[in-house]
Amino acid sequence: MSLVTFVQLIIQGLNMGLIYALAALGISLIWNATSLFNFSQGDLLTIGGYVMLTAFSYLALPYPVAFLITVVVMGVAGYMLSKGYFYPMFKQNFNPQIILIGTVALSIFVRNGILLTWGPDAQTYANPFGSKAVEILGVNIMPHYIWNVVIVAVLVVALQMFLRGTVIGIAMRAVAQKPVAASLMGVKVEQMVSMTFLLSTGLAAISGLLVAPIIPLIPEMGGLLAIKAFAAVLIGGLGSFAGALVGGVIIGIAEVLFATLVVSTYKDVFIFAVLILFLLIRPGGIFKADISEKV
Amino acid sequence: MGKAFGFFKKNILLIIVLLLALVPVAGVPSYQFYIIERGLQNAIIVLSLVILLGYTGLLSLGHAGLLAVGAYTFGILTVTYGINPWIALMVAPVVAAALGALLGIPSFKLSGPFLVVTTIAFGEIVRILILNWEKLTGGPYGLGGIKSVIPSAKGMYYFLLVLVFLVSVATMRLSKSRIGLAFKAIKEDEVAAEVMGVNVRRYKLLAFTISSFMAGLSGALFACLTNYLNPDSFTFAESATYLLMVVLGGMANVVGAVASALGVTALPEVLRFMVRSRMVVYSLVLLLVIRYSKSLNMKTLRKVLGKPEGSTLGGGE
Amino acid sequence: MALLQTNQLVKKFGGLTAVDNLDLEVKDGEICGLIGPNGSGKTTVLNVITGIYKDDGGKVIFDGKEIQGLMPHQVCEMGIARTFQNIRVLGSQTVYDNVRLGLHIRTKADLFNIIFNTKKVARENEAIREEIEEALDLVGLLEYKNELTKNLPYGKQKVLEIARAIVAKPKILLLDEPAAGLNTAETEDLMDIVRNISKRNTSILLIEHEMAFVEGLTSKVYVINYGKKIAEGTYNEIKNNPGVIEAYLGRGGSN
Repeated sequence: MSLVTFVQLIIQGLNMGLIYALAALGISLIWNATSLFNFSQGDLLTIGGYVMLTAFSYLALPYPVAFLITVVVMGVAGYMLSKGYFYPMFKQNFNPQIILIGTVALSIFVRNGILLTWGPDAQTYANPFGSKAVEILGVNIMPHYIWNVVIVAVLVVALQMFLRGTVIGIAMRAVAQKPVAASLMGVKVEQMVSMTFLLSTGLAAISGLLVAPIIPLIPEMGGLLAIKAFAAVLIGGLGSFAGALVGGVIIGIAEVLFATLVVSTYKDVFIFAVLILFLLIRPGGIFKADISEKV
Repeated sequence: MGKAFGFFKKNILLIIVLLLALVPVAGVPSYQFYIIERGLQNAIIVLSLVILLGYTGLLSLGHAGLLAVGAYTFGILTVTYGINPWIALMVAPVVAAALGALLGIPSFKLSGPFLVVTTIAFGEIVRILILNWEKLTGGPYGLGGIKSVIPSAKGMYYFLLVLVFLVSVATMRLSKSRIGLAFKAIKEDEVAAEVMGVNVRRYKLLAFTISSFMAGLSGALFACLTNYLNPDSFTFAESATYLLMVVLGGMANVVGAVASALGVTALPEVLRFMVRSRMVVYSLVLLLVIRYSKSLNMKTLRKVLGKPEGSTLGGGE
Repeated sequence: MALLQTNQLVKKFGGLTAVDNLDLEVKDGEICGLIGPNGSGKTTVLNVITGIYKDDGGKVIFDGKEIQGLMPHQVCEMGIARTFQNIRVLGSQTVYDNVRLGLHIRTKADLFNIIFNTKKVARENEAIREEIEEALDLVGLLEYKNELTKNLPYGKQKVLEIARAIVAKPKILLLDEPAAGLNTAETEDLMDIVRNISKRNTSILLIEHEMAFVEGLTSKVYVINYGKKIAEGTYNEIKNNPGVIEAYLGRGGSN
């Protein structure tokens, strides 16, 4: 394989990886705030893609406007989901396992809701960044690949600034680390948990709208994407910001390389096998999550 | 009155089975008849989750994979190798149990979402292997021409009914036994269990093995009923549906699990008048059941369904 | 003869040494106390002995055999049972079933017998019923046997944990702050219960802050601080030990 092909593969893998990473980041944020693992993240991602399809393709809004509308709509949906569904269960001290199963039910609901609203056929929208490859240092790169990296990079920096530099962000982190202390200090835990859902769902929506030019939208696409995001978040370290990013990129690149160099039909088997091995050898992930229990 | 109710409560499983035994006599149309058969077959995999999740507290979203192992083992043995279906029916659960025991090993170290993701990955690996191992499984074209252990529809129905009854009774006996108690102790407090001498690893492995055996049995029966296998029947969504059936049945309640399997299998048929939206309605119902599981008067439900063999649905931590 | 003995036992958490070269000894039939200020490593000692934590050096010798590094269920099978500082009962099971869990190692019914509901199972269930009821009677919970455990008040859950431990017929019982959170009457009842258990030829090692309890029951007391043994002897011998007073009151706090 030539170096150019290799670089192209890496860029392709990086792109899918960043999409997994955004979804993984959402999972980690919610995990930190509530110790809930959201199994519906993949389907929230998918619905984000479809909202974008509606705004950008059906309503023919300009890309930035459609982008913004999608993120806001999905963020608000996430906020309401927390307020109306998940937070009341936390508050009533439900068995965590039951709430987890609630996210599985949500996943089925969203998937079938998409099927009902947008139909079963694969759909996609015109690539907003054009489909003419750009040549950089002898490597042909699709423009949306470059844009995706730029958008995710800006997003990650903005998110970090938000979490570390604003009052709401700091309150959210306080709730994640010491919920009781935070509530004693006057932080409104319910608001902050719901804000976390808002952020997480917004992130899922962005990964959904970025993925559509790469793979066409189908109602059940969230399933497989979600498992990759789960793999990313567990390999990186559940609850770790950097872990979600690194984990996502590792998965994205590893799957592209395996598909090209070994055999494409078994790339998912490869990823899942690596995940299981990884969990058995280093259950906390690269950026070690604390999963021990105090006796 | 109270006495009659007591009798009803005590023998509810028997009453359900006897009522179901009347179905073929009542002359139910063949499609509805098939749906009840599928409901009975689903009851066995839902009972397998009662043991794994309801008793032991281990959450699996990979049971569709184990169902597939049972179904394909049965299909391949009978169709490709011409082995007697009764022998295949006994081999299929054993193969599933062996693989399920492997799936149990991660549970030594992992819990919560970590374990769930492992089981999802397991289910997906099985599905992808079936999809791509065309020579053996027929891949996306499926595996057809599978013959049932009992060719007559009525005969098969009664066979399923007897099996569900026996598996239910065995599950109840397990629940009351020292093994069942060890399972429940692991669910509630693993440290307390091991300090009282429960070999936690061995019992987790046992729970996975028993549960996978039952899932494999259900899979072989699935093959008998459908006569045709296709990887699409064994997706994550199927695993999730079985999980929701067990939640709806009250997690650790045998009669509840059987009723829920029958009801949920029939639900899409009952909602047939809204062909397109029935799955949405169905999942919405489940979301609401989960949300209000604590406030629903489970006591009333239990009075009707009999005593639960374990902890409560939505019980707090 | 020493029934349970720790020999230069060490347990570290990161850079912190929680148990520091500790030597303890509980003789056959003896009731020993293990006391020390909060955070001195008492519970950690029990956790290492029972295999919940892995040791970082030294030996635990029980009944002549080295048992350090065994899994908790193996330690239980050797004849060591314990209770916990923060009660660990099964809240959603009945009181009866909680005690039945203690009989896990002494019952033998296997999957085959259970599924086919053989006579063996029935015989075994009958045989343990008496034992469970006797243990419940000993701790005064017989009338609650069909209650769900989570409906019991705190004090009753604590003694239920003791009933669960003794039906395992341990040679030694380790009690982690059994009197904590109990009122005076309950504490006195508990002392009687512990004496009764001791009479059944069971040695006891107990951690306790309630000094009257320690004084009334133990024949020997070990005092540890920062994981190190700072004194040993009868309660009366150690209670005036300047090192012990200093450990409890802190340096310069003896006024």
